[in-house]
This record gives sequence, structure tokens and C-alpha cells, in this order.
Amino acid sequence: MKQQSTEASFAEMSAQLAAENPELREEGQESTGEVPHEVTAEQIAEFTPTPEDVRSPEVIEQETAQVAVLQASLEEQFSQRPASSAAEIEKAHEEALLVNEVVERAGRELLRAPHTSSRENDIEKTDEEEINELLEGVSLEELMGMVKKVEAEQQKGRINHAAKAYVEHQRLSIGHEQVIQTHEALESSSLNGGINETEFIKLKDDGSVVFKPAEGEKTISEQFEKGTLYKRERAAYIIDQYFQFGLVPPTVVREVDGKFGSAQEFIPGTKPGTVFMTGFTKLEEFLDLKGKLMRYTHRDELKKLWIFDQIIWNTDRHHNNFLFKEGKIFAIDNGLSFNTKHKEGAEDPLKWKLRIGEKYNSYYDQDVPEETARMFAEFLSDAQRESDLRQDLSELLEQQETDALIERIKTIGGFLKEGRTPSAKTALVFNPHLQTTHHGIS
Amino acid sequence: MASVNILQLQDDGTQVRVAHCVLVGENAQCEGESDIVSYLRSGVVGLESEEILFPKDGLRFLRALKFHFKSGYLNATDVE
Repeated sequence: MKQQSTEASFAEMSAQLAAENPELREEGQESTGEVPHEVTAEQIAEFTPTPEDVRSPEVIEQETAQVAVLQASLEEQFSQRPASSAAEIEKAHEEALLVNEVVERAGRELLRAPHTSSRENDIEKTDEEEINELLEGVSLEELMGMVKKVEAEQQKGRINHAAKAYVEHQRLSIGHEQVIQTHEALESSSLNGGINETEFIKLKDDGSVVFKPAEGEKTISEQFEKGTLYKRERAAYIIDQYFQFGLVPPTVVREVDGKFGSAQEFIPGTKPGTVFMTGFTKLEEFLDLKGKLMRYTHRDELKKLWIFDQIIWNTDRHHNNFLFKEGKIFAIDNGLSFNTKHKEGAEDPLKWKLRIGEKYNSYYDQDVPEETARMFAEFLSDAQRESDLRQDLSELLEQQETDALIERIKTIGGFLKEGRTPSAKTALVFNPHLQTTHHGIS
Repeated sequence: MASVNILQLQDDGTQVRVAHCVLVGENAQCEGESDIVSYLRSGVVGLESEEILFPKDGLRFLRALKFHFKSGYLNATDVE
């Protein structure tokens, strides 16, 4: 808009304003050069500007100079503030960061609590609401008290990235576990084949499970007592959760139609792990581009599977006991694990076990996925985690089986926390129970 | 003639045959989906006997299959 003169009347200015700014007119009203709103003569007289109301360029220039003086004065004051003020600002900033942390911590604590929601989206929503409720009405003093607690725990090394990641992983699993643990079994069909009884069960509202009842277990080997395999399935899942392998579908122990057994979430649309196989003959192996590519692109998942099997002492991993779907591997049929017994006079079970392990892949002296190394380092540095694990397994495994498991975690974990897998088979000859009853492991 | 079926669990809970092994003379012969057949040719560990058995082991190989394929996702039938 062009510069207005001090002599211009309010009416003239208004008319000009309306003509130059059509958006100021009411909808549908054409520009007439007149004042767009009804204004009385008294109002016009009242609002006729005086020279003091409409500032001349000279006045504006003068005011600008005054502002500049004021700004310079403030800057001078700011630069001369006491040194302690800067320290206070720094401290306040640090406190703000800690408050952010404690908010996150409070959220994590909430996530540890059991949820009633069954789906991930519901859990997300509920968590957010619960966090807000928790923080509502919390005074600054209380918040700072929590900050101090967080700081103390941090010093103990209890709160770090790995622990948070573990909690997050747990959070996602809780929903699935609750579904397969509590949802009513709608349809049950016995599956044909297999040495042990297996059933496919559709759950009310949500998914299906593969159910393995304790009473349907047969004696497969003297190394495994009949009626214990379903507990070992659950124990394998617990280990998967502790070390965040993310391989075992949620597995619980539950009752279906009066029978106790393991119920493992059924993963639809999978393919057997044979997609990773090397060809049987040398020529097939040479030509097996698909298998080579699969093993290359999924090497971290396969390494995790190999490490997981070493830890749980799995005697039965082969290409049909892990599944593949959309780049992810699922470890199934984990019941023949954790044993410490072997047949008197039979071939060394350790050697036997390693031979099976080599059938799908071996990963000696390899880099370890970063998150796996971190989880083992965490576990080994925190005695409480070992105590928690023993408690979680107390009704699933024999005491000596848990002792041997812990020993394996410590021995293998010692390698893994340094970022590499054990360098050779001999590094894995350490099962304490076997060493007291059997010699000559080669 | 002694034979074993390998059954794969489908998303709807039904089972579909993906491989079939039959005793021909002293040897077992397997046919079906290539990955599974290739796997069978590489040998299976018979949990009862704790040794690797190949199709050339004939009936012992067939008997070992149900100890090996028992996950529910893939089950082997009894020798029929």
C-alpha cells in the first residue's frame, strides 16, 4: 500500500484500503470505492487521525533509534551478568535433560507391567495414556527425586540401551503371549505323523497355535525324560526373550481340553529352512546360487540361531526345524534341548550335537550381531539377571540343567561380549556336568 | 511296499503331502518338493539310533523319518 499523508481522511483511507484489498470485502460484495461496512458520521469524526496517530517517516526513524539504544543497553547488561548465572543455566539445562530421561524411564517401568490388551496397537495407545496419567500431578521435587534414583541406577549400569531394548522387546511379546495363554481354544485337530502328538488349535478371535501335550510325548531318547519336552519348549522361548534373539515364536504352557502342554504361536505363510540348504553333491553346492544368496543375506539371523542353539544345547536343529518368512527366521521344535544326560557307552553327546549343528551352518570365529553381543555383556554384568533367569526356569528345568545352561551362557557369552563367536569347536567343550561323568571328549 | 509321507501344515490347519519316500529293494527312494527331497538325500539323524541315515539305509531310513519330522509344521507318518 502506498504511503498515506497526514491530511488523508479516514473515509478516503478506508475506501482505498478496500479497493486495494478485495479479501477484506464481505463475500459477494463488489468493490464500490465506498467503505465496506456501515459507519456512522460520529464514528468517522471520532476516528479521523491526527498527526500524532499517523507517524511520519521522521517519527519512525526516531523510534527506531530509541529501540536500538534500548537493545544495546540490554546486551550490555546480559554480557555483564555474574558467572554463576551461566552455571545455573547449564545446570538447568542438565536438569531438563534428566527430566526427559526420567519421563522415558517412567514409561519403561510402565511397560514392564502386564498388559491386558492383546494387540500391539492397543498396547501403544494404553502406554501413552498411562504415562500421561503417571506424570499428572507429579511435583518438580518428586520428579527430581526420580531423577536421582535414575542417576543412581545408571551408575550401577542397570539402565542402558540394551536393557531398554530388552524391555521394548518384552513389551511386544507380552501381547502375543497373553493371547495364546488365555484365548479359548475353538477348534482342535490332531496332526498326522511325527513321533509325538501334535495338534493344530484355532484360538478364539486371534490366531492359532501348535499344541504339544505332555501326555502325547513318547520316549525318543534316554537323554530326555518323557513328559518334559513341553517345558523345554517354553524354556527355549524364555532364553530367546532374555537375550532378545527374536527367533522363537511366543510359547507358553497351558491347558487345552484337560491336557497340559506347550502352545506355540503358529506362524502362517512360512517355508522350511531347506531354502538355505547347500546342495548335496559338490556340483549342486557349486551351482546352488539361491542357497548361497539366502545364507549371505540372512547371515546375522543364522548366526543368532547358531548361538541360540549352542546356549540351549539343542540336539535337534536341522533345516526343517527352523522356518523362513519375509526375511525372518523362526526357530521351532526346541524341545530336545537343555539335556545333561547321555547314554552310557554311547557316542559323546557333545560331538553328536556339534555334528548336527554343522548340518545347517557353523559360525566359528565370526563377528557377532551387535545387539547379541550387547545383550550377553549386559547379562554377564548383572547378577540380578542370572537370578531372574533361574527363577523363571525353576519349574521348567532340573537344577543341574539350569546350572549347565548358566555355565554355557558364561562361557559362550565371554566370547560373544567381545564381539566374536568362539574360535573353534574345542572352545565349546565345557559342559560341567558332562565333564564330571565323561572323559575323552575330542 | 513300505512308504512314508512327509506332511506340511497349511495355514488353515490341514496337512498336505510334500514328499513321499518308498522302499524299492534295499533302498528308499524319495520324490516331492525339490528342497525337501534334496534334504532327505543329505541324510537324517535318527534320534532313536543317534546316527545319520541315508536313503540307501532303506527301512531304517524310513523308520527314522518320524523322529526327525515332528515339529507339527512338517510331520512324517509311520512306515505304512
